[in-house]
Amino acid sequence: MIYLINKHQLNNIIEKIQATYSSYGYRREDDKVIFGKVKSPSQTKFFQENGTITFKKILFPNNLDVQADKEDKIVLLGINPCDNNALQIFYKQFQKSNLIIDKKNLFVFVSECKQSKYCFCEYFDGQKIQNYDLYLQKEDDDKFTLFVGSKKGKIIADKIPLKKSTERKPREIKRPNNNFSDNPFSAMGQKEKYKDFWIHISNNCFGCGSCSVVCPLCFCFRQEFGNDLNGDSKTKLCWDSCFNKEFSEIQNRFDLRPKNVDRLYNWYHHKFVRGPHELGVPLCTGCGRCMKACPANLNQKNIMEALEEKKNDER
Amino acid sequence: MKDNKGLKFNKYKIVNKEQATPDTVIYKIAGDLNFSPGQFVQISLPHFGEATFAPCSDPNNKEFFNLCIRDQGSTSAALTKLQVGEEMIIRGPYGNGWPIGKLIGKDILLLVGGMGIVPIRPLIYELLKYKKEFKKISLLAGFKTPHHLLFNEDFLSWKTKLDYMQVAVEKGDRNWWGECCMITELIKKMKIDPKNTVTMMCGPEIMFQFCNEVLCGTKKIMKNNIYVSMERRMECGVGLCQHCNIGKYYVCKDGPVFRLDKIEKEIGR
Repeated sequence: MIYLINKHQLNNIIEKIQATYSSYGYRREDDKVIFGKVKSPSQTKFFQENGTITFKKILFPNNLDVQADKEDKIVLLGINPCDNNALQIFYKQFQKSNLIIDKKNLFVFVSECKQSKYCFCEYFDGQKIQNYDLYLQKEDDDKFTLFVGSKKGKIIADKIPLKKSTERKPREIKRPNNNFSDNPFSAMGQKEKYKDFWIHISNNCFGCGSCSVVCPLCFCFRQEFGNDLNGDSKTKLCWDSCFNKEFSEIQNRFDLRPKNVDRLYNWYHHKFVRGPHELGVPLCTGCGRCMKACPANLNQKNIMEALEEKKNDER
Repeated sequence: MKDNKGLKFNKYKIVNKEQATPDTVIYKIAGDLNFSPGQFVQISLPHFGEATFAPCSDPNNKEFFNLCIRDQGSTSAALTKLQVGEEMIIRGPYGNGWPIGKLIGKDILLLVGGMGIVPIRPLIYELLKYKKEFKKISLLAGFKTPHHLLFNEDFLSWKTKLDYMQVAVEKGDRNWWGECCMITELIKKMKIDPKNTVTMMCGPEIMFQFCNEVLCGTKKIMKNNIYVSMERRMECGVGLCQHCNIGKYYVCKDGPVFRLDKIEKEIGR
């Protein structure tokens, strides 16, 4: 179902959602828009640029207590289509584990994307508007179009009398770009062949792991056994990064990826070789957070294009 | 593959402890792990951490199982200090074990280096149980010194039960009953039918390299008849944490036993 709604009705819908779900979304805090807990419709911001860290910190927070109870029902308000697509991939990986909230208890309210200069979602179908419960699109004169995409979304929309819209489908955000579609990432799996290329990139990389902290689809973790002052010990899952030196150490501190080039390569290998092999899709939706976060100003999109170019030169 | 959802911890009671070598202990633990040879478990110790071990007892024993733990780091050092009567927190078993079904009617060659005997020992129990199904079972093992030899009594009994067995140490002493050379020398000395032999290997990765050179080179065994058990850092055991990948495979989920021709291309990727 598709409705044309105004600001007041939107607030009403958010109120209805917040009555049943504990809600997370974009809100303003000290001149900055952050993604976190939102309490009221007026606090909730839609049509925002991607926040630094997205749903990862809500569904799979750092220092996750394995034994602790999870929240019953969660709504993610105003996330962008690329993050929603990342969320679907995230669930492909984690759906069988009991570590995150069940998908049927998660409500996604996607809003139209405000593009940033970093994003390159058109390469990975990250711009596709799909798998949402509700989708909000901005129109003229403070009106919005609301698209209902699931049963969960319909239950909420049915609670309020709404006027039907004449729109047929959501506006396209970006046209897909098929630059990588011709046998994608085949060069990515050949470390030895493009050794010089990777060494060149790694010489510029600080190995800080910022890219993997901000990436919605970097979910590596390690277990930590914290000690409390009262003598208890809890098993916690902490975010880890393959750029950490201890990441692939085995017994006697023998490191299987001793150099930064090995670790950097592993990051790309996981995203574009191992991910597609396991889940059928690359672990990237082109949100551009990694570029924004990189203190060495590495441009992940350009790196991929350069490697593709290198492969094409050989023909 | 057994379905293990999430991280489920089980508690088992230690009923016996045996100091096998100066830095290795063997625990006898009450309970049924329901594991197949080659699978591994994660043992966690509150305040310290978690580490990966393979059960080393007869998989058909449903009352007790054995765990062999060597002091190699902070967690394993603390694990060797547990006493009889204390509880051990274990999750698993995880992974795919040795492909026993593919061994029927074949000559089996088991290659062991050091602690590699641990996941091979349940396999030997299983092979001996169905001995008639296999043509010839051979075991070649290498250790640093006679003091590092684990399961000494088992080795002496296997000498008669198995069709062929040789044990070598790098540096022997006066009472040593086996050979004194590298394991590759043992392979060279042995008669192998390259067409009908399946090799199973467990040990340090450096041993695989040298053994494979001999097996594929002079002995002409095909790479798809060689299985290796790999070791990597593991945090979750269910294919999520990304610590244990070798190329596009996960040791915890797709392994730890891999066919050489499959995994060889992925090492170093």
